[in-house]
Amino acid sequence: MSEKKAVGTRQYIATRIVQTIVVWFGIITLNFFIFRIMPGDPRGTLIAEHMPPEVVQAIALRFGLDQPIAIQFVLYIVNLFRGDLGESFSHYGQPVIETIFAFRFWNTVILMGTSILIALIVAIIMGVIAASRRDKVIDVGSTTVFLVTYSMPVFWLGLMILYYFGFILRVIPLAGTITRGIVHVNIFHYIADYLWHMTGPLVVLTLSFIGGFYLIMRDSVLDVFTQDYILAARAKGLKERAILYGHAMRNAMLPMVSVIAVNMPFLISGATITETVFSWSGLGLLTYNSDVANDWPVLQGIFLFLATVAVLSNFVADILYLYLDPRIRY
Amino acid sequence: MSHGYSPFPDHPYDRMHSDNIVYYGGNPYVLNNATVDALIEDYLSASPAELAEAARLVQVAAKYNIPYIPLFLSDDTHAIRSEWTNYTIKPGGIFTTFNPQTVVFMTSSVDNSLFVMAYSSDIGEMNPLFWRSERSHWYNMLVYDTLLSFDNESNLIPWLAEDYAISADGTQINFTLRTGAQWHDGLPVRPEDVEFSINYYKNGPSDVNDWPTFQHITSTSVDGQVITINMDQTMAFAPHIFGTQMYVLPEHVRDDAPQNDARWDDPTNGTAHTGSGPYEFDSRDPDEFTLVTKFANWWGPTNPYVGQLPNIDAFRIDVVIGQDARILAMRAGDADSERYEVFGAYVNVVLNAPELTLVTGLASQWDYVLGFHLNVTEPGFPGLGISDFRVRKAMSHAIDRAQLVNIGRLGHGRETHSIIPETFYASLYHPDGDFWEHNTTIANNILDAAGYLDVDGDGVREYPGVVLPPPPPNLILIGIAGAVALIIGIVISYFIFRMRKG
Amino acid sequence: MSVLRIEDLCTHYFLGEDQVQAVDNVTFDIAESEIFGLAGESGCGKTTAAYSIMRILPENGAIVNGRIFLDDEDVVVKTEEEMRQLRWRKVSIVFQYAMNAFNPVLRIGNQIVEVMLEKQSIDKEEATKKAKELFDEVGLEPERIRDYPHEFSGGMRQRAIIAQALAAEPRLIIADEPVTALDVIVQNKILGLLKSLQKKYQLAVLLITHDLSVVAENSDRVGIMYAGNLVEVGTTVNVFKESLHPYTYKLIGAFPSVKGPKRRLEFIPGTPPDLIRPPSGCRFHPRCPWAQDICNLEVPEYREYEKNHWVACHFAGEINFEVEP
Ligand SMILES: Nc1ncnc2c1ncn2[C@@H]1O[C@H](COP(=O)(O)OP(=O)(O)O)[C@@H](O)[C@H]1O
Ligand code: SF4
Ligand SMILES: [Mg+2]
Repeated sequence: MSEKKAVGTRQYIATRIVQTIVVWFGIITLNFFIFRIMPGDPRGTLIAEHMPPEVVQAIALRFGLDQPIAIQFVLYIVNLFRGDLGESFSHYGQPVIETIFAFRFWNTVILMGTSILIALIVAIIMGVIAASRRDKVIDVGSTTVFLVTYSMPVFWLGLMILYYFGFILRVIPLAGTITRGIVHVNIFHYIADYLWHMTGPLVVLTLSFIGGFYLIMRDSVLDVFTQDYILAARAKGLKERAILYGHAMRNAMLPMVSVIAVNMPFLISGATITETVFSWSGLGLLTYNSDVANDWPVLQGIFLFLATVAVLSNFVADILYLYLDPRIRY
Repeated sequence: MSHGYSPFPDHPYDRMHSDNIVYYGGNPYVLNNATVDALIEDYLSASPAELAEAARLVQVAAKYNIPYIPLFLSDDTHAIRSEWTNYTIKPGGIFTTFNPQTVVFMTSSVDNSLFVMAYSSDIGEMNPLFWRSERSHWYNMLVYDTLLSFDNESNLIPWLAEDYAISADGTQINFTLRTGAQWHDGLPVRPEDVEFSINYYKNGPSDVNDWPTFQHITSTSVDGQVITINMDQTMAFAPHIFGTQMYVLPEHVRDDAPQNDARWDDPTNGTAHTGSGPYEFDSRDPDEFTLVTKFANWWGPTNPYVGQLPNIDAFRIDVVIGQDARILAMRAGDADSERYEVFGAYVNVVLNAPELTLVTGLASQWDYVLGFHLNVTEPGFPGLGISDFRVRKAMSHAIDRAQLVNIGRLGHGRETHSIIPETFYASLYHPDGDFWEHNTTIANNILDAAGYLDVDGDGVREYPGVVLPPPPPNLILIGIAGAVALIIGIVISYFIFRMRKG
Repeated sequence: MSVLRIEDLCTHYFLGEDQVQAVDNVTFDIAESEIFGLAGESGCGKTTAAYSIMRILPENGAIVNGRIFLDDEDVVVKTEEEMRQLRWRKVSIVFQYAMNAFNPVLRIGNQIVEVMLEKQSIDKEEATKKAKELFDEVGLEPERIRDYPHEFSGGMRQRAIIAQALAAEPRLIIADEPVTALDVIVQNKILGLLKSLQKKYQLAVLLITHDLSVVAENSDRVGIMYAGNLVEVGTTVNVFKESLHPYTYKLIGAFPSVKGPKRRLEFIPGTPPDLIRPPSGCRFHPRCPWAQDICNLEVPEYREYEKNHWVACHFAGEINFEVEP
């Protein structure tokens, strides 16, 4: 890398860092106010029927809901930097950090991470193969199959899998991340049980992700195939695999970096519908439940975390491009 | 809108007293009537002898104010695996928090070792002082005991207490603790534990459940097995609240820690969940399951209203989020029943599932009403419309409850006519409080007499005093006139223009 | 013995119902260490001919007739895998658009090493060393084999492409418009380089260009193409000084010569024909000032009019080009 490029790059990275921080601040501000202008009042769920008026007041007091909105905002920012995201309304009094990270975060990351990874690998391989056999049986076949999985409603697919594989065939469990009520003999037993429970949601999510990834990959490979350097590689008498994986794929992968960056927040937010269908206790389900319960602190916590991940992954993707595509210089 | 009933009818205060016109209070109707307030206060502070008449007056007051029109109670259309029998049929349903009898008496023709209850979302809190949902409350009921319970007609019966007595003016209540009851850790349940529990509730933070009622306690004392509570005023439902809403807690476990200490919600801390209930806490994985096992030394056999230990060895609460998944889980035998009743089209799904039984013919807790916001008026028509009693009365006459039950609940529901309906509270219901009979002729006559007439003949009545607006101008005529004027204008301008030029 | 011999080559492109007759009945050969210039207007089928030799035609293109011998092996009948092994080892190509002939995200050196590893039994270290030597040979700093394509100027990239073409020590190099995209000074340097390498390695070169001055100065023999047909082949002197075909004559006239006597600049009236429905008879007849009736009825035979001077015109040698009817 030339000296000139290095300087330009360092400047670019610095600018992006500043941008990222500014955007992040914008988001945390928005994150606070968006819930205040949303219809619905958390007191509705916090305060069950049959609560005498005094108790209603007491509960509002406990969560600072009686304070003016400006004061609430200042408290939110101050507490944020102390690592305190407040207490959950619906998990009465539990710190939000715990509600999010104790186990739900991991359930989601493991499930989504695995399915996105599998989807990416399959989509990339199938995309390359389909593009290289354009209009042949394998291309038409896989494109049709993935278009179908792509357009299938996730909840329907989930229910079908639950019904046929969970209920009729009894090969996957109907709910949860582990077998309920058993004591696991050891960690391997636990992992095996967990993975078994993950099968259903994993298949649904992988199928739902794969189509989009595949189409992008196939398109991008087809685009690369029209490039002169591919013709050059053919003329050089390289093996087809070397052309596909050494030349076409590397270039076709560049757009995938953005796709992955865009999908990073999903990795965290989880797939609400799939998690609901399979009773998979992750952040998607938590988001849904918190939304139903008007649990602002938890929603705020999730959104904050999501926004942070989104902003960061975009930043990382931009930096990654610098290294993956040598043409980019700043 | 819908409300939920508790086993004793203290809801007129929540729904109709001006105290509860607070943000998210129980009185969204904004009924603010000093007479009604006074009647409700009399009702809540009635001595046992005065209670029935006070209840009648409150029901009549509702009929003559109509903050809401009682419509129907939905049925407790619970799905349960067919092998289970002998659950207790009580107003509210088979699995309410005031129906511990089901838990004790229910039995399976196949296997009594485990009963799995599918929950649509997890138990929020384990601490019985702070349950915030009926889900948590039902778990509390398994692990902890109340002093009293209800029979199938919603009358108080002895439970952990073997007897109770109320003084004639209602300000003193005596509970006689059963002898031989044990905590899950084997220590005896002492009358001091009961006294401790009363004061533990009373001295807790103000968001402890039923905290305000406990504030009326002036003193407590123990004499032998008898625990005495003295209060600063008569409260009609104090025996219900102290007897059936307060869980008796072990002083030797709770003593040193505040009421809202985190350990009471900590699933890894087994001793924190020591109670004296029919089941003891075993294990819990949040968002997955909560397991309780039969307490072999429970006092049930010594209580003539119980007379036995539970038949089921263990209860497990499983989180199964979707209704479809729960039905599949029940059909597959992974679950035996679910926390709430099924609704809508799922009723038929359950009826068609050979493994499942649909519980029918029993009212649930859910009470559907047509509520009014009494302060809403049309600008220019103060006191008219919804805020006009005559309109609400006419609506009350016009409502066909049978039709609503058929459409809204596919027939699985029962009409309610009073705000303290007979199906739920047989002993305090009074026919004088029955709302206006279904009769559309009367309804129309009331509106005619009140001057709400359909002056423009469009099928919708207008407010009194509205006169027919002048007929709308004829657009075609205006168009023709405009066109003629335009042509004349052009012709005139043309000639003026030519004259100038010329 | 000839390095390349093409006989009656017909390569067509298929567009739905239509066939583009991009190369039709082309016959010529290239001897060892000979530079053969193939010239003609844009779109006359030069690149198609080159791609046919390497069998790297686009999907809708196919050799429909004819034979192509590389060292007496007919490539037309070879399987794809045999063909793949033959590429670069026997014949390499310098592309028209050198800008894009390198993969932008791979280092240039690696792309050269890659083909060496594939075509020769050497290890990576040796290959790298050889690549550096080649760089040196084509006038590039050997260290820059680690550069990416975008870090090179156009001329440098063309040198690197030539280095790459030499990588597997082929007998024949096809240079398809090797300097078209470059400015004139760089053009001359690259052509000089190509020529000196040709001498050094005794290479046969098929030099394809639309630029007659490039052919004139660099090739031993020349072939002129018009609308998919080869219309005249001979030594450079013969073709340029004693043109037999009216198109050759007109084409030379239309070209300003870099060296040599100033000539009148002429313009060939009309447009090149549509190759889907080419004119009957002699494809040049609609534009040929000397065309007779027979020209649109009969295809002129491609014949050896005099020793080593081939032409496809009914009236070859009979026409006085100074006089237009
Ligand atoms: N893929 C293709 N499909 C259809 N026609 C093509 C294709 N490639 C080239 N052609 C046509 O074939 C003819 C010869 O093209 P080409 O060999 O590139 O000419 P040159 O190299 O002499 O400029 C042109 O008329 C061109 O339009
Ligand atoms: S054959 Fe006829 S038309 Fe063709 S070049 Fe010769 S003279 Fe001209
Ligand atoms: Mg070309």
